Amino acid sequence: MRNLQLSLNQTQKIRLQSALEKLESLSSKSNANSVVTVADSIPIYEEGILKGHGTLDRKGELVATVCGVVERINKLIYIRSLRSRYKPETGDIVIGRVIEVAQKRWKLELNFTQDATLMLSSMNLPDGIQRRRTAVDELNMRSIFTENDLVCAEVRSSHNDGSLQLQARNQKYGKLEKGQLLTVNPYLVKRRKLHFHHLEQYGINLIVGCNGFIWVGEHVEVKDKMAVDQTNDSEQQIGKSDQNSMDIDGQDGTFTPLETRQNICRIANAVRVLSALGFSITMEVIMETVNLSKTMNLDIHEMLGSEFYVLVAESEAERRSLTKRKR
Amino acid sequence: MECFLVQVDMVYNDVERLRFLFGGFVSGFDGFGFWVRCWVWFQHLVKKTVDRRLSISGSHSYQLSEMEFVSPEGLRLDGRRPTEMRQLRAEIGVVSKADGSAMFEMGNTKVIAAVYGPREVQNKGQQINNDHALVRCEYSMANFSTGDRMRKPKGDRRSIEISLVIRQTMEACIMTHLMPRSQIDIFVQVLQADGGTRSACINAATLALADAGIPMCDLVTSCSAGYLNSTPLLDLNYLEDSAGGADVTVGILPTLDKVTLLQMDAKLPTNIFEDVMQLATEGCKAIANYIREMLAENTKQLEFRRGS
Repeated sequence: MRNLQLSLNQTQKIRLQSALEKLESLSSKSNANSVVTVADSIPIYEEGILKGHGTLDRKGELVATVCGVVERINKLIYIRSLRSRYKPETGDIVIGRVIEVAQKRWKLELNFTQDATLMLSSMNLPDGIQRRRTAVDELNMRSIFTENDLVCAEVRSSHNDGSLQLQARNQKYGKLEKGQLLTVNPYLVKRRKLHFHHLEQYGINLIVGCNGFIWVGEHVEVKDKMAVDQTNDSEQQIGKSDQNSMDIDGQDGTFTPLETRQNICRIANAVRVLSALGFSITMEVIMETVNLSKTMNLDIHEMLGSEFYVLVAESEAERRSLTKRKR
Repeated sequence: MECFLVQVDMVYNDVERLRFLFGGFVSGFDGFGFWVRCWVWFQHLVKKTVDRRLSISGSHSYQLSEMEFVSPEGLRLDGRRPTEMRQLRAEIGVVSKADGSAMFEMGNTKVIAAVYGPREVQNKGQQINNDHALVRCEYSMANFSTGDRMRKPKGDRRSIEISLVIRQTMEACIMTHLMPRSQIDIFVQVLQADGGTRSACINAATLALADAGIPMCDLVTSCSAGYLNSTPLLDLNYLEDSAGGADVTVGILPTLDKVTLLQMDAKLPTNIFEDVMQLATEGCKAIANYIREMLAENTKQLEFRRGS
């Protein structure tokens, strides 16, 4: 079992234990039987199955190659592995860190088996004009993203040889500034309709990347410059772009207010606690944890104390039992 | 008392030599010659004392090869039976930044393993085959792992050899063709060495690889066995290992019944070797059962905590 690096006193230990036991009893019984480890044989109930990821055919017997949970969809049998690197799917929203600026492309690290590539041609230019990328654009690539920048993008395609292509053809994608990046295990993040969240009461943007990178940062207004530009003629466009660059300069000068910084830290700590406990991370759960810390009147640093871990585990058990009853 | 007598006796016998020594002294102090004679006499004295001592102790002379490793009651030095293994203990997820990690204990031998990857190949020159993952392994011993503090914990011949052995053993079970253009790094470090570090390292590496979610065709497990006092012994500790008898380290794929590692550092007759190897294989299977249990428990924990 994965142990928490916490110093719990006796009562806290017992409370955490009971909360975890409650969680265990709540998890569906059918799942307990379908947990497999490496080289376990998987029972086949029907003829003509399709073997998926994490399985291996050995003399007519289906054998697991990773530790995980057996999933059966019609005739397909595959193993959903828990602790492993990110497995990309087309359309996933991911956050990556630029590690190299190469010719016409950026190389991004996003907890995948290889570095992903983001082509210059598959992203919007900052001035929002749709045109062919010239050599000048290529020379100015560092003005868009440089090494160690954080970038939010979408998975365009993943190839057979394992290479991964990204795209950022929208104003909501791009460089991330003024905030914190948190890395959690990718299996804790589920694919949802919405991965961008704007928490209005805190003035914060929360991006839950499918690769387990979570961004908590100050809210920035997304301006769809393209739509604006299309309505204006070219002369105004130049003026506009000048104005925009002025705006950006102005933004760099201003600093994030203290309250926003505290909110960022609070949300980040909530994510840290949840990931250490191994609970799945969604916007709702994060907000619930943040609210719990606020109602308990805890300081931000106290959120990483052992008491709060126990509280979060207990509230999670409570929450799951409620949702179960509703069903 | 006897010892004292001997020395006195010896000194009287050496009157001649005394004269030899001090004769030189009387005839004049000739520097170098004096010290040479001094040294010769001293050597003679030492030799004599040792000889006498041995003759006194007689037949009880201390010899390693005749040491008793299995008592008449059938117990070994640490109180185990010949076919008994040391206590196993494992912990998964001990290195937070690694993709997979594990700690494995066999009695007093304690090993920590961390797996990074599959990740982008760092040194493109090392990549020989483009459509298979590159497996790398680094073995090291902590300075404090042995009785006397080590000076150079890695980079010596022994660590290089063990790194290679672990790498080849793990490569045999990792399905490298599923992870093209990437590399897997395995780091193992011995925290406490008490014999059987090689086997413990392989077991720890297996656990760490399984934790990292790397596809493998089977879990490799390893165990050692030896032959001392005409008895096959399972899982040798440091004392038994350094006795000079045969030490057979076996690594197997338990469900496939295949051998991926076999090392022996002495000679054994074929029929005895078969027994020893059989014993080691059974040890491997016992370890495999334990590792499986640990992994199943860990996966179950992760799954129910995550929730549906």
